[in-house]
Amino acid sequence: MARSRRLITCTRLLFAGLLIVTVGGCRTLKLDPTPGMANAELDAQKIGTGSYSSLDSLVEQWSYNAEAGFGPVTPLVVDDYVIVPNRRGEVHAIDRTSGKRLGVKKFGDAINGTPAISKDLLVIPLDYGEKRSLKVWNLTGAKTAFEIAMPSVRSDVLLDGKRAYVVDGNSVVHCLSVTTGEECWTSNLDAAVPVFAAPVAIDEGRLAVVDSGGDVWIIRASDGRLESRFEIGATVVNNFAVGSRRLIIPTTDGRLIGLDPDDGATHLLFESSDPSVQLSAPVMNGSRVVFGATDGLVRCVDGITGREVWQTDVGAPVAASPAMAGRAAYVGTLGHTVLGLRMEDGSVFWQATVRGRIKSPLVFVDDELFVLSEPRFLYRFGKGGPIAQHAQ
Amino acid sequence: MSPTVPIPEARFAAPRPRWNAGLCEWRNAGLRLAILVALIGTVVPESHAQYYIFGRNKVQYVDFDWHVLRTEHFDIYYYPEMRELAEHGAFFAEEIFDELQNRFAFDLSDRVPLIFYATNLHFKQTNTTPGFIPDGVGGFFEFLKGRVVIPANGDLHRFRRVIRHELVHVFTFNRIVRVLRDYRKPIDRFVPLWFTEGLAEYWSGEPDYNHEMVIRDALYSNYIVPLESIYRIEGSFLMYKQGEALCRYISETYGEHAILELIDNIWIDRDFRKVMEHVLREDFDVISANWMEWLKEQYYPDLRNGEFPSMLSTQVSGKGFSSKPDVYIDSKGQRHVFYVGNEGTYSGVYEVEVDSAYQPISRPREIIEGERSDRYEAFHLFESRLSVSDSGTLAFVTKSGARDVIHLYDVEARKLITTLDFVDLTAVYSPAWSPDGTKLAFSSIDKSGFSDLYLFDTDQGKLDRLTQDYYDDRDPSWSPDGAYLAFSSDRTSSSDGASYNLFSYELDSGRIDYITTGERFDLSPRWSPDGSRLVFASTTRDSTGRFGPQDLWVAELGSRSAAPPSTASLNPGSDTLAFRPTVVSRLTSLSGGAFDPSWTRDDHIVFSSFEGYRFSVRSMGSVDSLLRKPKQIARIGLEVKQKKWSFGKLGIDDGAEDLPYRKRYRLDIAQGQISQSASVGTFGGAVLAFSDMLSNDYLYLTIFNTAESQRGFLRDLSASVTRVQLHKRANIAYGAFRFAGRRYDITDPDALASLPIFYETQYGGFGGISYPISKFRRVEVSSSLSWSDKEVVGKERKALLLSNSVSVIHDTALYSYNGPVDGWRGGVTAAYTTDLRYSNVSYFTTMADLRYYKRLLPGVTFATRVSGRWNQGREARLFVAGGSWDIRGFRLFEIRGQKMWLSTTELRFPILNAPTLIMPILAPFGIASLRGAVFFDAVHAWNDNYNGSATELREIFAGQTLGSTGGGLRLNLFNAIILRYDVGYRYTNGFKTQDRFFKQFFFGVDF
Repeated sequence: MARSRRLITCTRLLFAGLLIVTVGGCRTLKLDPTPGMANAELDAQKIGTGSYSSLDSLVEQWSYNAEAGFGPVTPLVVDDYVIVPNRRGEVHAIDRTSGKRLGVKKFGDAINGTPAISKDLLVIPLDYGEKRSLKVWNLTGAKTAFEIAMPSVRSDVLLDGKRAYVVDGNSVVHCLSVTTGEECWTSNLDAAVPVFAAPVAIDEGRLAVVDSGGDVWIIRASDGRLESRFEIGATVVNNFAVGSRRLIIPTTDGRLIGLDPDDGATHLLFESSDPSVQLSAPVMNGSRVVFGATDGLVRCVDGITGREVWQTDVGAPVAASPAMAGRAAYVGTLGHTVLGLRMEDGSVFWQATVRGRIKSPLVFVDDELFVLSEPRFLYRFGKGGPIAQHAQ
Repeated sequence: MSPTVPIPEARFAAPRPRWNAGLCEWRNAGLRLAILVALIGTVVPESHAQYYIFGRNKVQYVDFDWHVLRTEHFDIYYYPEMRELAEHGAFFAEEIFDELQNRFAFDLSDRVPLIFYATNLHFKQTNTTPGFIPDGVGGFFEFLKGRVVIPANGDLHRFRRVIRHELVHVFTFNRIVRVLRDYRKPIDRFVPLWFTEGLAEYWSGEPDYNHEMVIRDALYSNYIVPLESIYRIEGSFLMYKQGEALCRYISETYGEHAILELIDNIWIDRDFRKVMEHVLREDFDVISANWMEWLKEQYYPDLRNGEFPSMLSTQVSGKGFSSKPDVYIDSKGQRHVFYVGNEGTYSGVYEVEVDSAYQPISRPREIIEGERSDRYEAFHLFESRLSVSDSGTLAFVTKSGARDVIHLYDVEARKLITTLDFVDLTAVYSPAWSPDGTKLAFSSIDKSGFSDLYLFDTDQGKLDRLTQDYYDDRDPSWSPDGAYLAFSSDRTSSSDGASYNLFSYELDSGRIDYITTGERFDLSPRWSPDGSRLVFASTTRDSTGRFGPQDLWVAELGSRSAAPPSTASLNPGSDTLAFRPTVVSRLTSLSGGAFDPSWTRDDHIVFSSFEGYRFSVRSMGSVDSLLRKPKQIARIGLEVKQKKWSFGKLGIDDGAEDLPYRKRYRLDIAQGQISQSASVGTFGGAVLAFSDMLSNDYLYLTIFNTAESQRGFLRDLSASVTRVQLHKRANIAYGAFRFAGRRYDITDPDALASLPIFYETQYGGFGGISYPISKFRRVEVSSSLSWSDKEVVGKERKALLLSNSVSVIHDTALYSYNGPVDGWRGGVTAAYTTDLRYSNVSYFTTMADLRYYKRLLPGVTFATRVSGRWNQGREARLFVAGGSWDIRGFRLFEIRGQKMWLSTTELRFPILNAPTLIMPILAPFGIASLRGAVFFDAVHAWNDNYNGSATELREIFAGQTLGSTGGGLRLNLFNAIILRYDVGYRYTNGFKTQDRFFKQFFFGVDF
């Protein structure tokens, strides 16, 4: 009798274990290796531009429910995969062709910075609640490669070869080896305010970091030594761009400032008549800079002279960085629309509606536009008809 | 500026009972509940309401013809009389929308409903909130329907600022909801009130002079509340101002973006202190300490030159709240100071006698008892001055029914002379007597919502309109020769009207001239007795750009009495006018503020002051010597721009769409419940409530089922539908119902006293009208017709029941933390219930309940209640009593009978007062107040012929006088729940038997 009872108990435990394993197994992140992944070196800056020259209308091909909203993160597109972090601290991997979920794993309380991919390693910045706020996940092995203890990270991870650069919540810049997890150096900016904008590689030897108080820090990439510091006197919360050896910095008081990282010389590229206007992160196409603003205008200016090339009213505030694609620029608005603009004059050639506000950067890769929108959807727009929807 | 415009409808009313004037009002604050309970009471007529739903009435005096103006982002609800104001409001809303969209970097997904009222008095009638709206409320945002409700009240700048304030709330709320949904957190947290209100103030515009005055006074008088205990002043005016200062500090110290970061990080913890620490990267204590330092650094340097009103002047009245003084010297030369105020309870007009040095020689005496009668329904404590003529006629304003009225009161004879009621004027402020005592000048807001000056000739009964434009003209004062009025207005060209300057109005020509100019707030002018000067309260910006204290100033008008006060006129002309400067002298340099000065014949200035978070009436002598050594002399206004300021409008011509308002029900509440019990099986149900955008029309649906088996599903299905209409003065409710199933009813005379459970099916319809006679009285009439099929102890009874009832309810009680503290309330009811088909049921009901409260000392109240109830006839229901709310020492509803009288008497006294500024110790535990009571209760219940078995009579205590005596504690937690603990002895058998000692714990407010 007792033996029988033990057997029942064991069976129940086994069943419960299987259930846990089954359910838990559904919530992991494991991808098959692909040729592209073998050489992948991908971060927010290395994605989002394309050379698509046609100005055809795009069609929504699929949308994917990521189960939580998105911070100002950029979807990462590698071969057949789209990798998206959400504000619930999860990273979702989606089949690029079908929009079907390939895997999902929760890494922390929230992710508000764009991860980076180095080969099959995913470098994930975590926001709040974690002592080890940088996690490196082996995508093919489905295991943690290593974790780095640092205060929460709000900005994107910058990848430069085998090194990743991260700014933590105490405004300390960390350089670490992606393969070993060893810290090459740390550099304390001693900034009184946090850093939201992603660090940027100016050239092979230098990094630029801009804190939210408007201080620009030029750091030597080899050893983290601070080379110079400039003040632009405005709040900076969005990513900035670099082009023609200039930093193109958007501010929350309606200005776009070009700064020479060598001598700190600034050149006002744009100034809104309304200082409450906030500018989106700019993107560059040659010498041209395209950016949106909360006044509902998308502007294109010359990155050297600041001359306005065009401006287009898109009918709703723009907080997300546009995506450039040859003759086109794609813009997402807080008014639930995504638009295609002609680069030569800013006129709208295509428009579509999504389910919510767009506040994350758009990505255009290989004739496909990827859009993150509220409440929690990733869209793929492309040429041709829609692809059968997969309920998630 | 326009010549006088007669108002034909103006009437000069003789004193009369207010109910005869037809100026009555109603709506119970808990209206929906009241109607529902009352009507459900009639749905089941046998269980007629055991208790009155007391409460004052929120009366819908005006049947507003609502329209909707649709702009790009807003649906603006307005009525045609205020069309122009609504178009200004539309412009302001769209203007701020773009700015907030930028500031928040956020876009609203839905259109925002903005409901505008022309005046505060119209605003008080809104159904969008069930509670009463006090004078100081400038508007509110209600998140269930996402609507904003705002009155204009004559001041376009303030209207604009309130719209901005409320729209900051709309953006804040929507962004927080979005953040929580993004992070998949439940919407169970919000930023603290100090932050949301402080941010709304901060992003509405620059800090106004009230902000500066309160913060300065709080620092100097040492009652500023540190950040860690700011919950102590939750919801107070001080909290708003401290919250604004905190948001400014955060913005200046950590950057403006830190404000948004605090909102965006609300998801990380329900404790906002942790959010602050995370975002601002400092310990909470450090943030708090640094903020305090920041405040001190800004304001303490001014203390060097500041004078405390209490050190500079003589206190005439300092008890409670007192302001708006005026002086009268009677035929015997005795000086009297009159003012509006309160001593912690009702507001009224007070009189205090003073000697030649304006030292009080008598206790303040309340000569007009306000807030207890229809005639003196409410005072505008901060808005309206009073005036005493040389012949001793006091003119003051109260709300009385739909409008404000001016009362004329003979201070010598101590009687009301008359009440002036102007049909076309909604709000009335600050009447001022002409020197000959025959005319009254005052400011008023008509139905259009703009504030203008009016003149009323008391001899001829004629009302003239002196100005008619969108400027805010206020506080007129007569020159001693009666030729001019001085008044304060925002019609100035200085800072595009974002200032108030003084102006003169020449009564013969209607010409308006500047007296002062510049970026100042010059308010409440009064002439000196010789007419050569004006004393007024004013504030200007100091060297830091902040508004300094509101001080007493004097403007020199020339040596000749009633000379034209300088200047260039506002008549059309060139763009800029040369302007002979007016010399103004600042008499004081106060730490707090001065208001409403009045210059007496004997060289004193009587005024109200703000110090130590309190308004008091004070006097200052030797004005001439003060003028010889003023704190500051200024020559102001060398030139003024001729161009008048104006605000934009957004109407149909600008693309807006105008539509009539159509009611559309939207879901307010949906609640379901299912439960299972071993004895009664599974049962469950749901309640749905719908209402329209203006909350004038409610629809309630309930459905529940108590079936114990599948076959009984239809048999035991209960459902009801009720519609309640509130848009007219008479509130109407009607509906239909079907109730079926096993019922527990201790009032059913057929049920067993020990286990009053039986099965009943009842269906029918009901209707009721609740008509408010005034704010304090109403009549309720209800009727129901239903079929009843009842099974009790093997007996089946069928009946077609008709039940009618009528009640009259009066309530002037004044509430404090734990219940009423002053006034009285009462109700009488007559009802009849009969079975139209079988005559199985036929009984009448009469009930009366009277409750009286007398405030013996501050915080100490004597309360007594007597109640009689009588049900007579076939199947007459039982009344119930017992429990902590009436007869203590007995279980809840333990005492039952078809007839009953009861009496309770109580002395209520404070043990620990509200832990606000003075008593912060218990606040962290949520204790709002701790009070004590000693009581004596008595009751007698009986039935026809004392029927029933001996066992049952013992069980329900019928046929004997019972009671109890003892004491108890009342603990108010979080201002939300009151715990009651009583101990004492209970008595039975006509108080001959001391039954036992009891201890009783319950909750609820005092009777």
